[in-house]
Amino acid sequence: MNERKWKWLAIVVALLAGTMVLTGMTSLQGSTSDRATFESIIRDVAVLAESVHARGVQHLKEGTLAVNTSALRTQGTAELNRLFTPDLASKLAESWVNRNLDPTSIAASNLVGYGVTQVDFRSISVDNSKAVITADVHKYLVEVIEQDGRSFNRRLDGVSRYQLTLVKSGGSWKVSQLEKTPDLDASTITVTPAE
Amino acid sequence: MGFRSTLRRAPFGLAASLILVAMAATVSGPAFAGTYDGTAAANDADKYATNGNSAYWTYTTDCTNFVSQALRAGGWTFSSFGANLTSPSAWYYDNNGTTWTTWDDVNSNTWSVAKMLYSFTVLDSSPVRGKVIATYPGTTSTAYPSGVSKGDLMFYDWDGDAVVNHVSIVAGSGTDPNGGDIGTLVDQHTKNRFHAIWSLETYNTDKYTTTIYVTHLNTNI
Repeated sequence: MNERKWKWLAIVVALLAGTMVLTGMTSLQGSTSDRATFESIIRDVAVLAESVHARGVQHLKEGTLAVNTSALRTQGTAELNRLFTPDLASKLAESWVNRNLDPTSIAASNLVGYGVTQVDFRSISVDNSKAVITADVHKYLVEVIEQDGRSFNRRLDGVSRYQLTLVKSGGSWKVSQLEKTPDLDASTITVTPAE
Repeated sequence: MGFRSTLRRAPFGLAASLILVAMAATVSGPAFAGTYDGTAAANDADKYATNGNSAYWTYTTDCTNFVSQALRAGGWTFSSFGANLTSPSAWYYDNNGTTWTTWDDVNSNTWSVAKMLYSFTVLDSSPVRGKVIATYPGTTSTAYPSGVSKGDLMFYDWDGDAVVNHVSIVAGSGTDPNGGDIGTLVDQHTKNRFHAIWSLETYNTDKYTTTIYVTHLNTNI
């Protein structure tokens, strides 16, 4: 192979390597304060349903669920409306709020803990009053399970990829579209004896 | 005696027969093209649950493509073969004359997109190939949803926005080899799983917003 061909080969290899590096990189736009706002919204979105359910469970333990169900529903709906546009909030109300306050579901609940440990932005694209975001949300649930007459805490750690569209309305960002894809990874289940 | 000769000798008899066949088809309701064997579909799903079938293209998000292959193995006939790929009433995989996977393979959106397969199954196929018999929250502890057979489908809406995001196929019942749960089991792709508990409750950190559509498939298709 002559020198010219070597040069061309080097150029092609360099271009390929550059493309690979670029496509592997995350594309993040938006101001630092916007990014902080987006992360806060995503963290709240990720555990809204669990927080509604957990409040119901707490009231059941205290014997005050029946008298507080309506208020809990109002609070949950208000949270939805704070985070989502009205049409999406309305669409999600049944599965995120009402269903998680169902007395049968609460009575059978084994949820004792939940939270978001990390949010990794994969891409953020901001265009004036619209933002399109992809983020990996690291989340956990802790539930009590019974095995052989003993109680254990089962902790499930998972990563869901969130694809969100947010719109700025009245100075605040609200989610207008949301798609979640949980990883369903069984390797992240840990079981420990309950205290 | 050739067919043309038969036509010349008995034109009126043949015409009458054709009319009778057409009338029979009209009065007997929808014309079924074949039979769906759920056990055969489940066997195919078991076979390829953890390894892809090289006769088909594999997608990064492969759940629906995997289930469609099993439905095909169970006897689902192609619908509107060669029609526009986005047609909601078309369901097919076209390997363009080869029996192996090549760059020119194409498939309808209903073959590889969960929400499109869902619509095709319960709404856009003719006659419709299945129906939703129950919905469950993702937190359900129900071990055996009633009315479910091998080869039936579970559609999952992770976000609770009434748009299907994922599908698995019923493989039987027993113990989930990973989670240890006992009940109806499914096979699935994307996160490849063999005999997972049908609700995926053990694995799903988004279960508090998930809705599951239990879909029973018709034997006559």
